[in-house]
Amino acid sequence: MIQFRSLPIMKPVTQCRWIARHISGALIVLILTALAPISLVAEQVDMARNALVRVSVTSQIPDYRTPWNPGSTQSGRGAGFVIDGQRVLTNAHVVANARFITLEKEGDPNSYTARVQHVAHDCDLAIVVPDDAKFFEGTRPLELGGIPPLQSSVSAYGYPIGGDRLSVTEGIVSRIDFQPYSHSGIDSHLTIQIDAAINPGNSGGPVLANGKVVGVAFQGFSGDVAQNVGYMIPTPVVRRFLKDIEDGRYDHYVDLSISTFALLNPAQRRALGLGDDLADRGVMVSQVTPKGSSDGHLRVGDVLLEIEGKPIAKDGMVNIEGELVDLAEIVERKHLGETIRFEVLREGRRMDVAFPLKTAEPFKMLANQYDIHPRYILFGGLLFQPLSRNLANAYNIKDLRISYHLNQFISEEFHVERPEIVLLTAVLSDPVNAYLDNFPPAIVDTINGQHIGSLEEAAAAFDKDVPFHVIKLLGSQRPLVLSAEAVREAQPRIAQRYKITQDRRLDETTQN
Amino acid sequence: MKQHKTNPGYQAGLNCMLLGMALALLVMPRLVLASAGPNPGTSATEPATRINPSSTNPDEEEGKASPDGSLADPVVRVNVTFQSYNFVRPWAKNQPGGRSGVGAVLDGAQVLVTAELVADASFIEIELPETGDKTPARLVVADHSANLALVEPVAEDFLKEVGTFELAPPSQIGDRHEAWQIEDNGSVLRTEALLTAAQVRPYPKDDIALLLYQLTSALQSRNGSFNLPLVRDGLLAGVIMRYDARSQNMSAIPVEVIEHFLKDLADAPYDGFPRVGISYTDTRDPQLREYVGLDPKNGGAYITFVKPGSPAAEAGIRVGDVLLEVAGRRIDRDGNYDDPQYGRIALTNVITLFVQSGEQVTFKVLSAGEQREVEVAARAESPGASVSPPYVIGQAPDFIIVGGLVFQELSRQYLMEWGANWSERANPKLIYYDRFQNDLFPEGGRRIVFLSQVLPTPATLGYQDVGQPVVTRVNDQVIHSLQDLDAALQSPLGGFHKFEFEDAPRILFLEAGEADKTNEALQRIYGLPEVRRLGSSSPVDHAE
Repeated sequence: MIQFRSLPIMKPVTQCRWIARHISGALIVLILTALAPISLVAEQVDMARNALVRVSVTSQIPDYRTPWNPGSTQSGRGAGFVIDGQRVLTNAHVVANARFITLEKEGDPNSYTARVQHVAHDCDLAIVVPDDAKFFEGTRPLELGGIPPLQSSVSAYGYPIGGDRLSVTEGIVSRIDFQPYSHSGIDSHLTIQIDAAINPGNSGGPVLANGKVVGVAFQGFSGDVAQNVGYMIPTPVVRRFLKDIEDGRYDHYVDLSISTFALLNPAQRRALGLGDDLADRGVMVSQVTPKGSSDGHLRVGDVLLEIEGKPIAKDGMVNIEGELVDLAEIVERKHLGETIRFEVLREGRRMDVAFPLKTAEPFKMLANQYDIHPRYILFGGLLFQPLSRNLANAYNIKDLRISYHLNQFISEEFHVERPEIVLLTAVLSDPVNAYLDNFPPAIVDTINGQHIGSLEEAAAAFDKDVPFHVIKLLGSQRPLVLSAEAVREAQPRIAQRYKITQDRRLDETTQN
Repeated sequence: MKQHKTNPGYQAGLNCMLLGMALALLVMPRLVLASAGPNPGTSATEPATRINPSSTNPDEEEGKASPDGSLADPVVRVNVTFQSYNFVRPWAKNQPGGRSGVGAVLDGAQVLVTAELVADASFIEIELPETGDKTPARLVVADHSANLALVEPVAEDFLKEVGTFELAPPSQIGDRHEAWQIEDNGSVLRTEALLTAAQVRPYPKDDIALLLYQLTSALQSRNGSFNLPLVRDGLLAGVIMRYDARSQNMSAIPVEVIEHFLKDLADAPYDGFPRVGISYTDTRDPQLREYVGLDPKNGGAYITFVKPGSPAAEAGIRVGDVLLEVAGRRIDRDGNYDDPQYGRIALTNVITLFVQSGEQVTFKVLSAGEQREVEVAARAESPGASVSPPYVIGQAPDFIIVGGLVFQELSRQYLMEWGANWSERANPKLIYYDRFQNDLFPEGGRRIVFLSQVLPTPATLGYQDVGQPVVTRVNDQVIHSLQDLDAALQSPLGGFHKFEFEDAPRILFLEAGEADKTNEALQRIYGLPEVRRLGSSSPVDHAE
């Protein structure tokens, strides 16, 4: 669900950074170790030891500025733990863009090659399985627990910086709240904040209380922002992920794709027809994203009174088992295709509305994306690429029109006219494009008279047999004109000069 | 759950706005007006000025004020106390400040200065350099787009002992000029300035591009002001408006622009510099030339934008046409013509400087492969006619407060309240609308009305965190101006004012009666002098 955000002035969204990877060469700090007081603790350490996995990953980061290249490789380390079904649970960001994965466990000198079975970048969880089931010999899967109460003690296990062997840190539960998950950059889910030290290398490691997993360590702040603030993914999010993949496929979170506005103003309430019988109830729908789950079912101005039979307070909170949570929490627990039921007040009439939930496709381009190869078309030395967060970061795009189209892609409903915004991102200099150097970056409006709403449409337009290819950009600019014959001559020349292996990639799932 | 976030490091990248961003602002606020002490010595005032020919004693050494009736150098100090309006709190004015410059005295006892010097002036004073005599002055006219203004002393014969400038013929590149400053003792400090280039460039308000002189000079700072006459052989060759001490670059409004300004004024009312409403680009690319059927030998400028309703649009010029000639001058591939004085100069110079508003310019265009000639009646356009005016100076910003909701019209002036980095710090949507107004609202004839802020009151309870949504309709009536909003507020729907916006929260209500009562309370609680101001500028044609 989109939450209504109302800050007129921009502020940093999150300073969360990855506790992703072991950083070598860190300072060694001597710490006086306290003696373990009770045997229960020792028991829990044993449980962790029997399930904890060190995940070593070599990953390849695609280069959006030379999308035909395979990208640079890097290696990193995180943690994971064995769960039932001979699986290892870890963070998605540990295995994102992985090309080669090995697993190691306590007391076993072997490295086991492994592969990603399921990955959920929207909630930063992944399942990794070793190629050889022998890996699980001597391991004991950890069990999932519930949500630990505030101020209760928890222990985090992993392989953070400071040494090579298993590390344990202890802390208490500081806060339970919805928080942004910085791996995707656009998703927020239930998160538990703990004050146990969580550092790079802890990622994917279990956080235990009373011998059960109460969370997966995943993100924190860098030391210069805040201290003793670590976050773990709580078990409801983990359970939802495990249930989603039961059918062998991860379907992603579903989303209402609406914004709501709290109805705190008395005049607003009266004008919308909320009488005394509905005191303190209801939030107003303030945006319905076209093509989203709610499109065609909810309208701007509708007042949401009940969700799944539970009353919605005027600030959008819902009471679930004694806890007040955002109504989004109810949607969170749903899976693809499941129905959501609302009671709404529309133009003064109370009515029931039910509709199936979908994933929020248009949001994808706003997220950090992984495990895909950048799509592009190289035509006459002109590089065309679809706009996405990945692309904007790679090019550090400052152009006002393009940033606006990216940041307001949903709220201004740009995605309706153009499911994909195709950009002219670069010109590889060649005689065929000698006068076009100054045009990138720009948004492509039409190619050969065809409106461009996706990279596929651009490819189809270029495949037309025309004497001149005419590219029109958004804004008052002249058309870019390429003689078809000149392009045909130039393509092999450009490919050779710039070592281009292929002149287009339309399928993001394939390297070639 | 998805949160649709705006990028934290929002970088608008609004570049190349004003000419020479690096150049220092010419008028530095000066709080204490320099007292030009009496100057009995008259020291080394080199007489280099051509003085008004009406000088009683032509044999007298020129340019020196003396008791025998000869005339002083034709320059005066112009001291300005200014107070600008606050566009974020439109009911208030900002702190007053002072600035000072050197004005060029023209025939008719009028003094030429930059418009920037007198912007938002609440008091203007003319001071004689040698005696320090002062008199209040009034603004005759200010054209902020062209950055020129005329002021005149209230006391009629105040300048009778001061000479007057005649306008120089246009300069040549490489000509030596002088920048005239006034020393504390009242004598004129002349610093040499070399004309290095004359080009058509956007003027400081980014509203129009006009001919501009670039000079190099090692100018010293005097009274923190670089608003100075540019003199050649004792004749007025320009008005200096920017000087950067580090690069020693100076830019000046050339005499041609001044001449056009004065001629326009002589034929009252003052119209401003004419334009036709097109944008164009070069045709260097041979593939483009072939595509539009342009002769390889010919020049031509490719028209990329024609403003609807503009003179060019009325004359039938369309995007994609190629401009071949303007007023008989051949246009080259870069959109320049060959100026006898300055060489290759942007074709817009022919429109802005060679004709006055309302006069015809002949365009020869290549349209759909055919050449034709059309007459275009160039005309001036007031900045207030824009959907988001490039500037609002000397005018109080309009606003309407309803029960604590503050509504305003978008202008560049409003956005610039966010400081030097306004293009990164102000509301992105409003920046976008301002920057791309020609693309987004090509028909013009409207303003962007938005909820600029919410004053916390009982009526606006729960609305405090609303952003700055753009208004679409109020009480079911379409809103294209604050006047529209004012009219719509006369007819509440069932006792409520209904506000609809393009952006979240999309719909807000106020109880009409409560809003009125709250407005009264607002004046009391927040000390607002007024809860609405309308009609200081009315760009919108209310024919509909």
